[in-house]
Amino acid sequence: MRVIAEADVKKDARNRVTLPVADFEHYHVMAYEDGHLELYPRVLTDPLISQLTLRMIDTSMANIEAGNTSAPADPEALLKALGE
Amino acid sequence: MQFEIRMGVPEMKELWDRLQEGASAGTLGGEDRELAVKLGKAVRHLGSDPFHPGLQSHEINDLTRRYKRKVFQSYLENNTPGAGRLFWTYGPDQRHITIVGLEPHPDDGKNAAYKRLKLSDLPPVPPARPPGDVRKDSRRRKKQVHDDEEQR
Repeated sequence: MRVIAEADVKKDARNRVTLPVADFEHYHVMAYEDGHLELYPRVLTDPLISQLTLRMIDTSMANIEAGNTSAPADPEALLKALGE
Repeated sequence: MQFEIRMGVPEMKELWDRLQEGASAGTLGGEDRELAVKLGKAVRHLGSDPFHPGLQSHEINDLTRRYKRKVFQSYLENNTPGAGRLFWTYGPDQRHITIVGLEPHPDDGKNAAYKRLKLSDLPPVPPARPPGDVRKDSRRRKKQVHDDEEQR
């Protein structure tokens, strides 16, 4: 694999180093006994949402824009009725 | 700061009302009762501190971009794979929070996994219905699901 950047870096007071190239947001870091480190880029899993939930949010948002929501919810009454 | 928690109309409100009526009458089944307890506790935390550590609240950028207002997600449980999630936003007024969605959706059945979408790949927001349009949501939803299946 071709080297595209190279730099000498120094830890700062908080043990941080600046990477010369960091195209990814997240890295998996492996530290070896001899002191060398390896970084592997990580891409977080794309979260999923159900179609029904998305439609529920679509409708709720349209109603909020029109100033239409429920009356204030009272969680204490619900939990009391449930004996919690 | 104390927030007033409101439910999105119509589905979250209907769910909340159903759970509250069932709890008062003592008629909630096992799963509904479990959901009511988790939801009640989450709403209590949300009202007193929306970023309570137990909620693990965080903004969902894909939804914020979609609705052009900040949308947050909070968990109903901790350290549980597939834990229930609440979606909420500030408003409509100051010191109001509106819960706009729940995942998994109460109507999601066994085939829920096939009806899931990636947050980064959401379809466009459907146009708002004009005032006076009283079509039932369920009819529109069924048609949309049918269309989606046909496209697949």
